[in-house]
Amino acid sequence: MTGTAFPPATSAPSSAAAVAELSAGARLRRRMFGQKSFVFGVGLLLVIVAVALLAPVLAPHDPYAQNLSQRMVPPFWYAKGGWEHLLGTDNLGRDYLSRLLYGARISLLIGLSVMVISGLIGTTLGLLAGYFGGKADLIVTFLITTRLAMPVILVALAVVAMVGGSLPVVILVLGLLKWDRFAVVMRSATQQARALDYVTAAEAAGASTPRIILGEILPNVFPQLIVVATLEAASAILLEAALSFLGLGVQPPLPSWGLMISEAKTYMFFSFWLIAIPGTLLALLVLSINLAGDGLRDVVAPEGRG
Amino acid sequence: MTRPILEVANLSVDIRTAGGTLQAVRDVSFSVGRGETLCLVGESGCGKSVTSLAIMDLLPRAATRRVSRLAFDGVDLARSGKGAVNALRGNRMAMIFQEPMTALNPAYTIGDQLTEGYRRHKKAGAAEARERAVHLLEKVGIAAAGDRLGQYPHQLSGGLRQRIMIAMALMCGPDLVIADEPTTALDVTIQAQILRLLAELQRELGIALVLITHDLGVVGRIADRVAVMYAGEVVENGTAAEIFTHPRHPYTQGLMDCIPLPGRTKPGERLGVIPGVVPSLVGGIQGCPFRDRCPHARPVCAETPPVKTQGEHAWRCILEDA
Amino acid sequence: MTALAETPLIEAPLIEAKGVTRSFKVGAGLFNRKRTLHAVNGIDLTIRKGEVLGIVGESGCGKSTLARILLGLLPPSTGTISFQGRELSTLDRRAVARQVQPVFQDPYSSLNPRRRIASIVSFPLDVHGIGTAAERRRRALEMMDLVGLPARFADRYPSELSGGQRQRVAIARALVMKPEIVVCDEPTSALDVSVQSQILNLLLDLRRELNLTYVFISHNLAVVEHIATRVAVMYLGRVVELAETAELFANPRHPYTTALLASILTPEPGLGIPETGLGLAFPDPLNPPSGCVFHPRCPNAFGPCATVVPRALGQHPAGLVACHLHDPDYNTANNQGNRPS
Repeated sequence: MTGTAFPPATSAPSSAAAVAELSAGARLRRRMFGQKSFVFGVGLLLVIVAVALLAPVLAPHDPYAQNLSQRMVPPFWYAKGGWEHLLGTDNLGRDYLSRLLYGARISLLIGLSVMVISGLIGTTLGLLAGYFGGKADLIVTFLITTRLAMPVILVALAVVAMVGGSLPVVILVLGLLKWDRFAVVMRSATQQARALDYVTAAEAAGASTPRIILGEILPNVFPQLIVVATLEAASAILLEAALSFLGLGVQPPLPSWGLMISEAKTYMFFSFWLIAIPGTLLALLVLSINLAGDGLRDVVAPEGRG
Repeated sequence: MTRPILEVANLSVDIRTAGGTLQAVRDVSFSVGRGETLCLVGESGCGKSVTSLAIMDLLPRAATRRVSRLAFDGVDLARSGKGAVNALRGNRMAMIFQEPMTALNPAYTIGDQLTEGYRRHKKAGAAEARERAVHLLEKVGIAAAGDRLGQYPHQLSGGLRQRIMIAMALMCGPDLVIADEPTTALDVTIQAQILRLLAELQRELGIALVLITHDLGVVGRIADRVAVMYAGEVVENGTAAEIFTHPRHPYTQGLMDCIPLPGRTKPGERLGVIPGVVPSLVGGIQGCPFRDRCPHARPVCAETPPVKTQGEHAWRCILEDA
Repeated sequence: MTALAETPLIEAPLIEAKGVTRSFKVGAGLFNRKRTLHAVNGIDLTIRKGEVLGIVGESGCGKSTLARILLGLLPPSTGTISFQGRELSTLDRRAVARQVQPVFQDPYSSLNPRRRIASIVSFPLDVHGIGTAAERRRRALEMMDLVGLPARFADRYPSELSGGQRQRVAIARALVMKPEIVVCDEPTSALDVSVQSQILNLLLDLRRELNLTYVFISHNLAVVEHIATRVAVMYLGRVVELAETAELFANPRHPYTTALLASILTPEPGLGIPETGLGLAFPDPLNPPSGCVFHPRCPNAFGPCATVVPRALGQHPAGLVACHLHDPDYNTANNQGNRPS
């Protein structure tokens, strides 16, 4: 509908007619580009993704190559900086720009993988609980409550400390820990969708339960799923950074932004850029994911707003 | 004749939407006499609810109101400040909404909500307000009124909640009550009871009632005068007897033919229809808004139709009698 | 079973419900005591081919639960229900779906907002794997034409249609599998008056053209009188009166029917608003009154009403009334004066 508070949008053929004057594609474009924050978020995210994908092409040096004679070279805008290492080098003389480019890959990989693993677990549980209700709902609610009683960081620290930190371990631990929000949101969204008549109509047509859940309900709870997915991806990236900062995440010499911050903390007062650059990039990445997700929800389902 | 309690002249409401300006109400004029019942009738999107909100100055932010005269008991509210309207609202003019569950605040007791406005407007004490609340609850047919005051809205049935809404509207002894679809959400037997109560109280207390509804049955039984709205305009206005026995506007006639009437329509026969859909009100309408659906439409209908009158009966159409 | 198999299909009732009850456990959480809500309480109903059975009653009377039972979506707690002579429990859900299809009240929630119109209409065919994708689409376009929707709507989304157009889509979807029975649950209540008449006309036309049987659930008695051939009046989970439409409207026998009919507001100025005589004591469905569930509101209640559940008394061919006023066992001189006029 047109997004006005009234006349009641539920029964105004006139507003439906007004909307119909624009084609579906034109409306989608209007909604997308009407939101500056969405355009900004998606734009920034695309740049980061492109840079990460093209890291082998873009990186001027091998991110692992040490050169102890070139340690702690500052970026080019400092007097002592040079064009050889645009963003300088770290304490082992590795090219900082190259490490940042490769680090983007690690951050994105973690955000995406954790989102997929936790999303699969949480969405499945939420859909089942919301659709079947009754005992299924009680069990899932119990699981959610149990999971919420565990502090993510502490459990992750404990597990990583026991098993040993590595990229797959970090992804798996975070993926198995962060499904709760997916489950909570999908459960309530499914409950709402389930009560609608089109679901009853599908049942009355003889459709099987998997068909109803996947074909009728899932597409309609997708906007909420997108929001949770982006929030979780951003939060997983931050958690990995936190774990790596504490030395229990990705292990050196892999260039993760969190690890780079951790490694730089010793030199914070002498070479501030060592910590400021990855920190800023991390903040920008999380911001862009959140903006894109928020906007995407509005683009996909403008009626879902307030 | 005495001065009308409410006079509305040339009321228009524009609502800004994403697609453009929606001319929800266009050039609506009517007046309501003391103790009289006026029904605003029309289908969804015709502007009847927006009209009532415009009178009460309760329009949402996206809406702008233009009116040449909006007088309550002779005082033009369009020219007086916000304070004047606030002092009248809930006091000398009250409103009853369709869904009492959303109009009542679930966090406060019935007693709190009934007495709040009275204590504010009448500067009355708690005991006096409570006494009046009990009196009115009994008047709207609620037994054990004293006990009800301590209850919360969710503890009551829909019919009881609507009775409480009526009692609340009557607390300050209003001269005018605007009721927006007050019985639409209720069951048929409850609807009859509530309307009967409303009509009795109105007669007894001499209140003017503006009733907004889509239900021609309700209109036929309760209205003194009727204003039929279509696409933001009042297309016909007259006494209930005139409107129902001799409708002049093609839209009114079409509406009457659409409803099955026991005794008049034969069961199983086709009912009358109004072909087409309501025009979009975005961006403004030239000429008669009904002409695309009207069986009597002529080229001249593309121009603004004249207002014909006969006694108290007025209609916006080129035809004397469709 | 053999006797049933020998009966010609045309004479067998399409749906036969015997002593159907459906109760729900109400009260959420692990530790709360659950209470039982008898939404449908001992209903006997026969739906015959070609008829329009109107079901009227107020909110909470169980008419929507009954609709779900008739659609085969909700198994009865007790009692039996059979479709064309076959017991529901022996039938596959798809077999029921081919015979009975629904049309719902709210055309805004009854269509999946993420599907295009043609896909919504052909959905039952997809589910049953009938025809190829092209055939299904052609069939959907035929159905759209039948219900008066232009083909250009086929690739639109429901949000681009008005309420009346959406209700036509819902009707097209219900008819695409050529069912015997369409269960219409308040199909016009959410629509404007002028749209309501279009949908009622459409339903009447389709019934004639396709020889359909309707179960028409509504609270609007004027509409039911117009469309139904037989009417069941429900109150708190029970059918209190069942009669041919003309008979019921001309000569209501149950006091509740009388009150319902009195509440119909026709646009006739000067008649005023009727007194229903029902009082305010609306019952709690979780704790229904003893005896006749209607007795606290009944203007004619007498001796046995508060204690004895009234039995269903037969009344010409396919009718019944459940009221002590018409029970010869209680029909004594002391209540003659209370009989409704």
